[in-house]
Amino acid sequence: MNNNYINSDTLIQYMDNELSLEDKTNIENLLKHDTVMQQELENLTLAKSAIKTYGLKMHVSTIHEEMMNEMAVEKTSTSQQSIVRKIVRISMKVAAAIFIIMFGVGVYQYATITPDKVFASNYTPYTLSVNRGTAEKDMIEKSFKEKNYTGIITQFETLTDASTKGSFLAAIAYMETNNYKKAIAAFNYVLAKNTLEKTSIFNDDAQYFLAMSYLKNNEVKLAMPIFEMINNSTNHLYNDKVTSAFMRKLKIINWKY
Amino acid sequence: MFTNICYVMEIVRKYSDAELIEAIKSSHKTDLDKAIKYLYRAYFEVLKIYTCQNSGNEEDAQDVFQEVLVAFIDLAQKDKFRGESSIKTFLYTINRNIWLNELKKRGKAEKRNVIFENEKDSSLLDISHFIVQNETRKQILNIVDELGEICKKILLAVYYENLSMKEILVNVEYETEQALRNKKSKCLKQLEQLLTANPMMAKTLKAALQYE
Repeated sequence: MNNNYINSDTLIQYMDNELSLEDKTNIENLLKHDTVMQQELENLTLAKSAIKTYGLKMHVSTIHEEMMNEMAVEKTSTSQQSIVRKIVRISMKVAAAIFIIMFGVGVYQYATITPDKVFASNYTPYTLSVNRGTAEKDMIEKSFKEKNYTGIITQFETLTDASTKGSFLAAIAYMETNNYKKAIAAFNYVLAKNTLEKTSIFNDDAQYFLAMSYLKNNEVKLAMPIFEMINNSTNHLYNDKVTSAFMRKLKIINWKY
Repeated sequence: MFTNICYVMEIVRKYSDAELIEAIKSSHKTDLDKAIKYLYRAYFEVLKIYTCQNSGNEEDAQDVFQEVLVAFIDLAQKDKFRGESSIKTFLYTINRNIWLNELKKRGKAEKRNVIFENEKDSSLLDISHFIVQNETRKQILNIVDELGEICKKILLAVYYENLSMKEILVNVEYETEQALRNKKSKCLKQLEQLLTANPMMAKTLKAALQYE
């Protein structure tokens, strides 16, 4: 290799280590004395270095985009998980609060419920419908309309063969005068008479008020089957009064007493 | 959707400082890729806080972090990172100085001075020369950008990716290796001329190179 033929391309080959050992040695010898050549090699090395720096910058830049996307996904995912966790936590708190409230209500109900309270909440005094054109010969019925309950009882107790209607009104009169034992007996008489005579005079009324009398008389176990029957019979006259809530209260009383 | 899930589920290995330096210096591109990703996962959020708490925003934090990584990887690959401090401390220090320098350039000198006064005692490393190099690096990037796309592609393939002429030939429109080699020489000389067009700048660039 002749010095006259040393050009940039050869210097680049030298820089890139592409020359034979002989040519390489030749270049190195020339470089020792040729400052122009030294300068050019220095400049080429600078260019090579610049490319490496540029490449590294591009490399980092490419990964940067990828990593920013990944981190954004992670953040979203973490954020979504956080929201779900928050919702679950709030739901748990609400559920716990509801449970505590319901438990509290249950405990309160259990502690304060009595047959008297349940009776009072459900009891409506019986009213006799007006039968126009019917002669009011029946004194019991007349007294009932006048709310003369003691008068009804006096008349009823003097009768030897009371009618179903008279017996029923007398039973109501016993209830109104707080004589529940006698009311129970009279209602049972009405029901038995209906069964015997295959009639249903005041039958639904008698069933309901009999059960109410048992309740008031603290005989919940006897009242329960009658109330359950009324609750299950949608055609029963008193089905609307014997609601599921009322039945729950009865069950609590049944456990308690 | 599923691609994103795969990103999250990618197994991420943890590196010690020594292992990280080895991975950065590795001749395998995948090792460097993994190391850069690890640096992002381990340090980006931490360093972002510093930039954002000192008059910067998310975009600033991202730009600064990229510069930090380029500076750090460049040093590590040239065996200039001596492990006098942990990588974390080193990155933090570079990040802080690059950002303070950026604030200064933006005319927020007063603010920068306040921050610097508050923090100078906590600076454990003298990295002023890294800042000079960082500025030089930016100039270099701008100059390289003046090359045509083909030239950049060929020179990057040869000098950054270390590909052979045979491998590069597949991706460029040259029929023979010799033609490609000629183009490479031409491009490198073009870049050399661009870099040395301004004698003062050439001197700065060379000085930075010599330091490296």
